[in-house]
This record gives sequence, C-alpha cells and structure tokens, in this order.
Amino acid sequence: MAPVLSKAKTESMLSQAALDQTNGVGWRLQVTYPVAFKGGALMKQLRWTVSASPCAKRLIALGLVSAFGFAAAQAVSGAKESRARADEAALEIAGAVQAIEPQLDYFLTVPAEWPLSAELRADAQALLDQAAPRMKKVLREWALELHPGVLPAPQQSSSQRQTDLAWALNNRLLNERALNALDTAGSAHDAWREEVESKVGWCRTFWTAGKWGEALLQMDRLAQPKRAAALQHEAEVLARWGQPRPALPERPSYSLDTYAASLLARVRAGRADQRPPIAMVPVVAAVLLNDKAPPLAGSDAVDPPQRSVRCAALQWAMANARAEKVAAPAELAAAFRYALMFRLEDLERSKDTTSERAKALLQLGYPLHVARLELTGSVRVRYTRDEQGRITEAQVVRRKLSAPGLEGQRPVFFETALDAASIAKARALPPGPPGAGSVEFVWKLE
Amino acid sequence: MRYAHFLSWAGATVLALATGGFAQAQSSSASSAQTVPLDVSDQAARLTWWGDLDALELLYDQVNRPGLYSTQGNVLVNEWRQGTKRAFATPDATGEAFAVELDALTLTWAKQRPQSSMVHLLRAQALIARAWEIRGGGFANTVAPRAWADFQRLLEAAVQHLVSTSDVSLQHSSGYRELIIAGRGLGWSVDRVEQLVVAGRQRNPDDLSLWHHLLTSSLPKWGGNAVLVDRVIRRAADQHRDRSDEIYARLYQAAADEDFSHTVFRDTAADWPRIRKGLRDSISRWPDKAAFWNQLAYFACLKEDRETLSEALDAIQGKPALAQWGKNGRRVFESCQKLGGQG
Repeated sequence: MAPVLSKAKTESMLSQAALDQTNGVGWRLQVTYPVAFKGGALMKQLRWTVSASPCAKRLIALGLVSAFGFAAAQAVSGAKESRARADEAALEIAGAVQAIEPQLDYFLTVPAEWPLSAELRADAQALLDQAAPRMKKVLREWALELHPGVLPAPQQSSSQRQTDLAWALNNRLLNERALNALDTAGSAHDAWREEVESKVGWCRTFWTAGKWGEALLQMDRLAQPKRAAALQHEAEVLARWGQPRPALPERPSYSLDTYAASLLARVRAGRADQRPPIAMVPVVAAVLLNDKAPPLAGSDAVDPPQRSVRCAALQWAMANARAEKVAAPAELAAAFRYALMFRLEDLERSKDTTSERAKALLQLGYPLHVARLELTGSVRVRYTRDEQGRITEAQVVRRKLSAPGLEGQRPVFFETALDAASIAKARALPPGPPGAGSVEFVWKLE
Repeated sequence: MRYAHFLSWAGATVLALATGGFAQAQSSSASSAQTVPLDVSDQAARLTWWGDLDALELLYDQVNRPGLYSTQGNVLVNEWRQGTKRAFATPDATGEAFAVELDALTLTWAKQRPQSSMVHLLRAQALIARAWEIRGGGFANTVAPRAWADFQRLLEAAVQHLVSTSDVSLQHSSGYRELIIAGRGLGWSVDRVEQLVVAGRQRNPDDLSLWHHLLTSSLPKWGGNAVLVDRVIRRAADQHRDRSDEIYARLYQAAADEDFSHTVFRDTAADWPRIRKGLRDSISRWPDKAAFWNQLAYFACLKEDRETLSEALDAIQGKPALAQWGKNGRRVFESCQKLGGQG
C-alpha cells in the first residue's frame, strides 16, 4: 500500500489541505482550497509531480526516504501557511459578501412604505422570496470569482483585499440591476411596459421606487389576469439574474436627451409654428424653463430627486418623438429604456472634495463618484467647430470603460458615467480648424 | 452607498382613499360632517404638478361630495382646488413660458377628456392663473396698461370655456366658483355673481367658498361697500341655518383679512357677540382649533373684550398663528397680550 504522507481532508467550509500519493512512481503534493463556497473559482491547486524510471525507483526511493524527513517538514510547514492564507481568504470573501448582501436584501424586499394592495404585495414578495436563494448564491459565486486567490501570496493586507472585493461586488451588483432593468420577457412584456411608461404622472415617485417599484405601483392599477401576466414577466426577467443576456437591446445611437434639448430650444423660441405637439407637465416646465436650474442630462448636478424630473422630461420627449416620428418605434423604445435606466450618474455624490486625492481627481476633471468606483478607460468625443474654431457640438461616440468586478460584463450601469466629463473636456479644448473632428480622452486613476 | 428609500408621497394617500380611507357622507348637515385629516391640498398640488390626471381625478371624485370637510371645517373639495391652483402658480425664473406651457397642456387635457368636469376646471384655473400672473396682484393703478387687454382676454377665455362646456364643467359647484372668480376680474355685478352662487349651491350646498368669493366681490377694494358686505354675510348665514353663526364669523373674518383689517368693527356692521359665538362653535366642532382660538383672541382684542381675550390667550399658550392677527401680526399680538394681562 502506498504510503500516505498526509491526508487532511476536512469538511470545514473554510479550508482543506491534502497531500496524497498517486501511484508509487511519483508524488503529488496537492493543496486544495475549496474556500467557503462551491463554484470553483477559488479552487486553487498546487501540484508538484516527480517521475522516475522503474530501475531507478529504489534508489530514488532511498534518496527520497532520507530527504523525506526534510521535505515532509517543509510540506507541513507550507500547508500550515497555505491553510492560514486560505482561512484568511475565506474570511475576506465572507466579509465582502456580508457587506454587500444587505443591498441585495433591499432589492429583494417590497418596502412596507410602497402603497400596494395586500394581494399584490404578497404576490410580489413571494416572487422575490422564490428568487432570493438563487440570487444570493450568485452573489457568493461572484465573490469567489472576483477574489484574487490565495496563491501566490498577495501583497495587500487582508482588510484591503476584503474592501476591494466588496467594491467589486458592489459594482457587479449595480451592473446586474441595470442589466435586469434592461431585460425583457418578450414583446408582451415590452408592450405592457410601454403602456405604463407612457402614462403621464408615472415618473412621480421614480427617484425613490425605481422601475421595479413603479412597475408594481402600475400593476396595482391593472385588473386580473393582466396583472398576473405582468408579474409573471417580471419573474421571468428575474430568473435570468446573473446569467448572460444576449438578447438585450444595444445602446441606440439615437439620444432622447439630445432630442429633448432640441424640443426645449423650440419651446424657448416661443414661435407657435415651432411648438412641440405635446406640452410639458408643470414640473417639467418649472425645471426646464428655469434658467437657474441645473441641466438634467448627463450632468453631475443630477441629484436623486431630479431623477423623477429627468424621467418626466424624457417622457415628454418620448411622447413628442412618437408624435413627430423622429425614429423607428423600436429604436425609440430602446432609447427610452436606456435613458431611464438607473445609472452611476444617479448615485449620491461624494462629499469629500477636500482630500489631496479628491483635489487631484477634480483637477483632472474626474467625477469623484466615478473615481470612487475606479471606473477607468477611454471615451471618444466627436465635435464640430464653428468658423472661430470653437466647439459648438460635441457627442460621445465610443466608450471603452472598465471597473473592478465587471470583467467580462457589459458595463451598462457605468457606460455613460464619463460622458459629461469627456464632453466638458472636449469643449475646453483650445480653438482649432473649423469643421468636424474627434478626440479620445483616457481616464485613469494614476 | 445605499439604494434610495421609497416615500409613498401622494400615492399612498390616494390608495388609502381608494380602499376606503373614508366613507362618503350623504348628508350635508354639519352634525354628520366628516373631517378628513389627510392633506388633500398637498396631494392635489403634487398630482397636478406631475400631470397624473388619473390619480388627480380619483382624488377629485373622492373629495367632491357634500358633507366632507377638512379638519378646519372647510369643504374638502376646496382644499383640492387650492392644491391645483398652487401647482399652476408660475415659479420664479420661468416667466411667461411656464404659463404658456400650462395653457397648451390644459387645452390638450380638455380635448383628451371632454367628459371630465375636472379637466375643464383645470383649464379654467390655468387661464385665470395666467391672467393674474399678467395683471399682478396689486391695485388697478399698479397694472401696466398693456397687461389689461391680456388679463381681460384670458378671463374671457376662461368664462367662454366653462360656458361652452357647461353640460360637463358646471355639473359641480367648482365650475361656478371659477366663473365667479373670472367674473370678478371682468367686473361682473354682485347681483350677477350671486346668481352663480345660488346655482353653485344647488350642486353642493356645503361649498362655502362660493359665498366667500361673492363676499370678495362685494368688498370696497372691488367696488363694494360695508353695507353690501353685511348683506352678503347675513344672507350666507341665513342659508346655512345649522352653521349660521359659524359662517357669519368665518365670513367676517375673511372680510377683515382681505380688506378691513383692524378696523372691521369700526367700518362694518360686524356683530361681536355673534362672531364670538360663531368662533366658539367652530372651536367645539372642528378638530383643528388653533386658527379659531387665534381669531377669537384677535377679535376679542379689537373689541377689548378682556375676558374672552384672556381665555383665548390661555388656549394659545404664547404660540400665536400670526397669520390670524392681521397686518403687523407680531406687534398686534404683543399689544393684545398686554391688554389681556399676559404681556
């Protein structure tokens, strides 16, 4: 029977180290770390294999016997160290998951404040409860995937690794929510959403409830069986949580924000023959026609309450776009869906503007909330210069962005976060020859 | 980083209404009146602000019934009207463009929902609001000459709209109320306005605001006089026998607030004992009593009725609602405290 040098296999969720012999012609030292969770992303293995010809077996074996004491001691020492690092990694992962899970829990709870009928509240909560175990499992799988691993020995401190992992998980979760919001269960789902989203007044609570909350509020106004069908659509979309979504619509080149700006210019011109066919509701008029109000599109000045106003303004633009048939209905629908998506720009702004790092970032024109999530990459802006060489029009035409946690993901939540800053940089360029041109801005945190 | 919390805002209350937040009161008598603690005015303002016509109409249907009152005893539909009016007020820094948008918006609504009396009401409110934005709220000598024509044109458009849609828009007292308001700006006589009050009361006998606007038309600043004021107030009180003294007090309080101020007892036929009784009726009848205690103290001070003043000041507990104390309210209150032996 082949000697077993060490075999420590534990069912512990935290670590496992094993040394075993395979077939007598070679030794394999195997250290495995099924750290904390299944999924395999962190299942790091270290293998040394020693081979020998049959005639030399005995000599080798002899040599090995003498060397074995030292090697065994080394192996045991290494295993201890590895086990300690595995334990540490497991704690980092558990800590990061623990930090982010409440955000997922929040998404998985229908808040008591939402004014829903008891029946729909119960149905919606049951839907979420059903999806919750799988969504939590996905979160843990992300953590395993995103953890840097236990070998080789990382340079960062354990707490820093945990923090980095939590931020990466946070990014992934935010992006997944955005993907979820863009997802559709099919044409019937799209038709229902378009019907709901075109209702004036729909945006009233948009900044607080988000699309999911608003969808529920609107469902409550539906009669059965339409309501059950609408809820089923949401369940189908939720079932794809964490999975690839190849059918998501591409970000359309058509911009409702740009169209809204052109509509506003027509309103401001004050000519009856140029008036848009659909008038603004009071809240949109009060904000868009107020010269002192901050801009609504792609701006750092957009704070959460203004998300509702932005929603109403886009709804106004969408109604006019449909009436004026400025683009194909499918393209408009996709543009509207992207425009209403919860974006990085909609998150709370950092209050830290005084630290050295914040000052340096601001100097670069780097929005602090974007820097905080470590979004980097490049943005290409196409512009037009007038006769004086000044840039009169600027538009983002390409983005290549990445952030921790988004490897292999389509970063829809983050895609437009550097648009405004890039356009501002383009507009600040020194005068140049008239005509069209483009410039690429590289955004990095160094 | 946290996901934002959801606040129910008006939606919660609308739902509460829809699911039986309060029952409809069939009787118009004050004894069976129901008070609704919800802030209908804020809800209506917010729903109008966001253009949520479905929810606004639901709210209107719920509150536009005789026998429903606010906690201060105002007919509830008046709270709704105050709310929509607030939403139509042009914000600073938007200028005429805001009113132009509302003009177009309410015209669209009226075309989209021709059978909704509510949208015709909103249309009239928007036109009247725009007219007054152009005119300004001052006396006639403060109005720019060119503003008069637009003011008149818009008020006439409001009247025209209500009349042309009368089958729908004048189904409720609110339509008559807007006609009265527009008519006042157009210089209609008190007798003509009174006919509208009579017609409006047939739709909702509890809509006291109809009398209130007739009273405004009879004030000296609108070409009326104290005799006319007293006639209107007594007629209103006579028409509401179960709340006669209360309405008498409310309308004289309005007359003081809008025109006569601290000289209301000197310049009108206001009957202090009757006002005192009416205010005491209001205090005993309505849950939100603070305004009435302040009014009682203020009028008692004007009449130097120290006993009543002292009682009312005790109830106020040094926390006056200064809006109830007329012009220069802080000073008036302090001098009345001295008169009441509490200064």
